[in-house]
Amino acid sequence: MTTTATSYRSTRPAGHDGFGQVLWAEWTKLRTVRGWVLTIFLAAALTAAVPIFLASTARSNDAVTCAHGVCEAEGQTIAVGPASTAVVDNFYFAHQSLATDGSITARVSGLHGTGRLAIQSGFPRPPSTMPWAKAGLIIKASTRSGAAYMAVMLTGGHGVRMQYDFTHDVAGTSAGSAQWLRLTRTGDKVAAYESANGRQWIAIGTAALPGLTGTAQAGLFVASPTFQAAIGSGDSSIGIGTHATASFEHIALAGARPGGQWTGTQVGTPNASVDIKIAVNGHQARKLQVSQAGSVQVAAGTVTVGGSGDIAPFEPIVDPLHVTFFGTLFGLIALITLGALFVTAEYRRGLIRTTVTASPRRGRILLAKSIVIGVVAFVAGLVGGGIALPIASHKLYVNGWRPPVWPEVTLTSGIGLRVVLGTAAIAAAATVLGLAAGALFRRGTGAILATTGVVIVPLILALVLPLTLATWLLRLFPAAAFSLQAGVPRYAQTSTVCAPYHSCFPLSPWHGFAVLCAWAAVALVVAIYALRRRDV
Amino acid sequence: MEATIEVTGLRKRFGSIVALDGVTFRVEPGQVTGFVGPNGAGKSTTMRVVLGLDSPDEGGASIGGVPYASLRHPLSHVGALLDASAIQPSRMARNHLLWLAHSQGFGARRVDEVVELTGLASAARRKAGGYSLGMRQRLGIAAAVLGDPPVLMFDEPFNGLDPEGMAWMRAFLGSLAAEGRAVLVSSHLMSELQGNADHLLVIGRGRMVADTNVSDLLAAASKDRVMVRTTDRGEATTVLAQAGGTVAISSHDLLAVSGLPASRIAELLGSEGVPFSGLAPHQATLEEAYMELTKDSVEFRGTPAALEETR
Repeated sequence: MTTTATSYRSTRPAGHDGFGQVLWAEWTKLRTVRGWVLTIFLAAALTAAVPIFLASTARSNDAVTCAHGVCEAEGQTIAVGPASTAVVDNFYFAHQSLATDGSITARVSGLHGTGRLAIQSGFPRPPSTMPWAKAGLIIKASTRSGAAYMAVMLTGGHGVRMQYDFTHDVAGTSAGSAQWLRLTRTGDKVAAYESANGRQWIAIGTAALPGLTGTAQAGLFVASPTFQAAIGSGDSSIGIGTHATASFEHIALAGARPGGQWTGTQVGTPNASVDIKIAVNGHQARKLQVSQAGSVQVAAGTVTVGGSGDIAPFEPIVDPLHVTFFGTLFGLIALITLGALFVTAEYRRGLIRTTVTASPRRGRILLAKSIVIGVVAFVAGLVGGGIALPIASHKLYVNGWRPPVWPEVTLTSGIGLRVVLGTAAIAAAATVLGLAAGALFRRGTGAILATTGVVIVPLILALVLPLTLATWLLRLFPAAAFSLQAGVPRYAQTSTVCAPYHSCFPLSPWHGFAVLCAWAAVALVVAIYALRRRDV
Repeated sequence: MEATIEVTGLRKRFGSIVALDGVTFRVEPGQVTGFVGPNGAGKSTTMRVVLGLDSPDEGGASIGGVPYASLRHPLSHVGALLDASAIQPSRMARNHLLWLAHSQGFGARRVDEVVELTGLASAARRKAGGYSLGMRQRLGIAAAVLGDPPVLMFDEPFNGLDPEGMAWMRAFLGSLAAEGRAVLVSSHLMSELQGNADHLLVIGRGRMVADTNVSDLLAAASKDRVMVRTTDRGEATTVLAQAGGTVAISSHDLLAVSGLPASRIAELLGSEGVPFSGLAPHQATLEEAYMELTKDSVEFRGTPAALEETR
């Protein structure tokens, strides 16, 4: 036998081994195991079916109730705002009629909470002045609760604000305790100004209010919202009405009838009362003490106004569209399992050696696997969520969860798109996290437990832990991403308790999603590093 | 690129166990090289290092002078079968080859070619989990030759084969070598390589024991030994030993004599009147040659039978 034989040379054309080929191979791997393909369909089916089922059984037992022209939802007095959505519009208003063109100016000072109500010890106590206590100038279409308005105000803790038509909130520049404020009306356009000295004025903004026609009411207002706090965990919360007063000087009104007098009107209902809601399911409100009336006193050029309530969008505590979350939860368990198995099955059989032999650049393997499984999970979430949302949303409407309190969410609405795309995005990122855990642990059970442990378990813990702890869990863990599925809009200028029990998440949707993505990215980078360093 | 495997000074430990302790060899093209040693001697670890799966503590390995990790489209350079059971049981055998083909940019046609080549055509659309060990070995061979590589490595390919499969495997390995490929075949049983291996690498406890041409080895082992069949074993032994020969009892009527040429043995026994019926120069088996080769090697004496591969 000779040792100088001619080496074999293949006559076959050489292949390619770019990243595209690794992707192609991983896709072929995924689609050729029937159990895995079935898992993908199962995940999509669960994501779709569970919300539809839950929505069809979720009857609204505390829809809007109206009596004597006053409507309530979730124990709060509500009105219907210019955008046909539920609003809170209760405050004390010292006003005069204002023609289509005119302005009002005043120096506002001394905003502070008054008359704190005695409550049982052991319950959380409201601050002396609520951060969203408001005192300022307002031009409102009428004194009807829910009528269009523009206001510029001093707040207890958020400086000067310009707010109009309930959902709009623009921050001013200063935050002094005394402030000159001005509103100027030209037809349906109103501009808001602030000044530190009454001479130099800074424009905060201008808005056109479609509902502001003809003679309007202009004047001074004070409101102090209900203090809400969670008691312990879960659904128990306390609501305590608060009251505030403020002084107005150097009042100048242009466009009003000469010699007009200030009329004090309670817009909406005074709700300076203590409501303690202790409920397990739904809301049972117990009123302990009723109303502290609003007031207006005029003395030597100074008008002092006292009032309670709030001028803000109504944020329902209950989010009926939370049903989509449960579908995603079940779908995710299937997808996370698949993501982990996509790697650990190879370790279990030693197949990972064949994979690494075929693609010696190991980082590419996990990257390709992530892209393949991520895209597949995204599509499963998109299909599942896309089927679930319109059907579940319709069933919720039929069951009494409807405007003005709860928006009707369609597939093409902002919320609808966010929920469906969010479902898909959560599915993709959580599945990649499962895959990275699989590559790190190299054992299916460990990887699946670890991933569901950080994605799903915090959601359950948040229901039983005290609110502060629950809030931190939902900030730090990938579970934060579920805020993408919030079905009711949340506003910064409200004082509603954000209760995880009612699927309120501390982080905004995309911030929450960023937390999940960060987890997945870090896990993937560590997994790639480990795969490159370790023997396989 | 030259079809060779070069391994230089490999050392690797797994915890307190020294798996490789200075392994050096070169596998040449155009022949089947047997890689022999007991279980746990370091054969599989060496192969994993060659494929870049395990990193050695010292030393290195290359294919035609290039480390495996630097190969472009690696399966066109090296084909390997490490573990026939490394398959996803629920995946069709053909699909197992298909993803591997896709990873190198090959299409389904190449898959069908190797399926045909390894005689799996009728079973290719069955789940690989239902395959017998023999069929899995064929599937592993099919995966190894997918890229038509000039270098091939098979770890224990004869495991689980029936005699017919054994014959097929021998012929297949031989034909691969005849085409000018370098073929490295590991086995813990020397007999499996009988009549198949052209070159032999013997490893024990992570060290090279021998690196030799098989024909030279057999000649050396057979050299100068004559088998004598006699009915009077005692007398024959005395006569031959007195004449300077070394006599070993092979069976109840068979003696292995060395140190004396056959003609001299016949002459001595004839003159002393010792009856003998057969006299033949000895042709050693590979197994015997192996025993001869390793009899002085401490590593093999008292080696725990089941010093398992660490992985």
